[in-house]
Amino acid sequence: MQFFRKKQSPLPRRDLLRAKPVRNERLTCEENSDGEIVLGIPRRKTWWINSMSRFFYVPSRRTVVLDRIGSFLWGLCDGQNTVDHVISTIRTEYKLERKEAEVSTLTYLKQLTEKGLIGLAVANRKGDRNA
Amino acid sequence: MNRVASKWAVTGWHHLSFERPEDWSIGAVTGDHSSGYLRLDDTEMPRFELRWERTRGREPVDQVVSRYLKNITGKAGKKGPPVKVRRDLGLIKAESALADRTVEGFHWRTEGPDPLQAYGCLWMCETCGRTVFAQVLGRGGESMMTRASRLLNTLDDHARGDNATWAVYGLHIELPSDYALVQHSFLTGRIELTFQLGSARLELVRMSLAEMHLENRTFPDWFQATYGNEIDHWTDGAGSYHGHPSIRGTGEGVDPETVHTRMTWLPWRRSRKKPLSCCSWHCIDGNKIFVLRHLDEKLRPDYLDGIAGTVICH
Repeated sequence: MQFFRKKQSPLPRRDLLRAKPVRNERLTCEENSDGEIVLGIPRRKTWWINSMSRFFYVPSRRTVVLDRIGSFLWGLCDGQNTVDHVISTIRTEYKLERKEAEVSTLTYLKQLTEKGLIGLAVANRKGDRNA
Repeated sequence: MNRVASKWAVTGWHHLSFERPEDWSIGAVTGDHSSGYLRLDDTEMPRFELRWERTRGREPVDQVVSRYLKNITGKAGKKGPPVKVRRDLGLIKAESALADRTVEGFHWRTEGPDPLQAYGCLWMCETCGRTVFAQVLGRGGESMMTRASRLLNTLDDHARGDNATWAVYGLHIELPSDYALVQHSFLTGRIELTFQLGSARLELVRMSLAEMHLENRTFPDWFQATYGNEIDHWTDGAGSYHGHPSIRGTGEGVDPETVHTRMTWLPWRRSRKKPLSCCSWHCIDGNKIFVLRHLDEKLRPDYLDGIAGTVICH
C-alpha cells in the first residue's frame, strides 16, 4: 500500500559521493558505429504486459542509445569507480568546472537509476556493500 | 578535509572580491549590489558565507556581532551542547583594509558528535556604505586559522581603481566599476551575465563543451548559425584572439528592454534596434565558447575589445 510505505530518506551527500555505480546485468550493451552505447532493455514480464502481448505486438526488448558523454559515463559505471571519481573524470575529460561536472553527472546518474539501468552500491556502516 | 588547498583563485561578485581555495565553488548566491548572500561549498560542506547589506542607522559593529552570536548560541543551546565564542580577534591585519572600516573578528565552536567552528568578521565600510559579514566554516578538529586568515584578509568590498572584478565558476572579467549586474543565469554548461551602464548593455555568455556545440563546424559557421539571425547588417572579420579562433563584428541588435510580449502590433510597442558590437571566441584549451555583446547608442568595437582583453578564458 502506497499510503503506508515508509518514505526513503535521501542518501547523505558524503555517502552518495562514495557510492559506486553498477550496471544492470540484465541489459545488453553494444557500441554503434558512432561510438555510442546502445542498451537493450528486456521487457518486464508482468501479468498485464503478458496479457496485452496476446492482442498487440510488444517488442521483447527496448533500446536506449546514450550520447557521447553518456557513453563515456557508462564506461565508468563498472562498480569499481566511486561517484566522486566519475565526476572528477568527467570534469577532466570535458574541461568543466567542478560544479558543472557534479550537477550534470549526478542528474544523469539519477536518470539512469530511475530507469533501472544502473544501481548504486553504497557501503554501509559495517563496511558491506548493498546494491 | 584537513588539507589546505595549494591553489587559490579569485571570486568577484557585486564588487566584493576575495581569494578562496580553488576547490570551493559557489553553492548559493542571491541579491544585488545593495544586499545579498553568497556561499561557497567544497565537496562535503559549506565553507564560506558572505552577507552584505546597506548600512542603516548607527548601530555599532560590536552590537551587531553580539546579536548574531547570541542568535547562534541561543539556537544551539536549545537543541544541544553550548557554543563557545571568542570575540575581538584581530583577523584582518592589512592596514589599507582597516583604514575605512570598523571591523570585529570572532570565532565560534560547537561541541558534540559532529562539531563545527567558524572564523568570521563583520565590518562597516565607510567608502561603499555596506555592512559585510563573512565567516569561514570548518569541522571541529580542523586547523583552519591560516586559511581563514588568508581569505578574510583578501576580502575587499569595493573596487580599488576604475575596474571591478567579476569572477564566478572559473569565469573572470574586469569591467569599469560603474557597470551594474542586472541579470545572471548559472546553468550547467552555460553562464550568462548581463551588465548595464546607463543605456549601454553588456552581455557575456560562456558555454562549456564547445566541441559538442560546434559539431564539426568551423567556429564562424557556428556563430552565424547561432547568432546570425539576431543581428542585422552584420559585418565581421574572423581572426584570432589569444591564439583562439574568433570573430568580431558590428551590426544591429534588438534592445531587450524594448521587447514587449503583448500588443506588439502597436507602433510604439515595437522592439527597437540598437548598434551592436560583438566579439566571440572559441577557447580551445578550455573547451569553451565566449560571446561578448555590447549594445549602445553607437558602435564601440574597440571599447569591447578592451573589455574582452580582461577575460581570462583558461
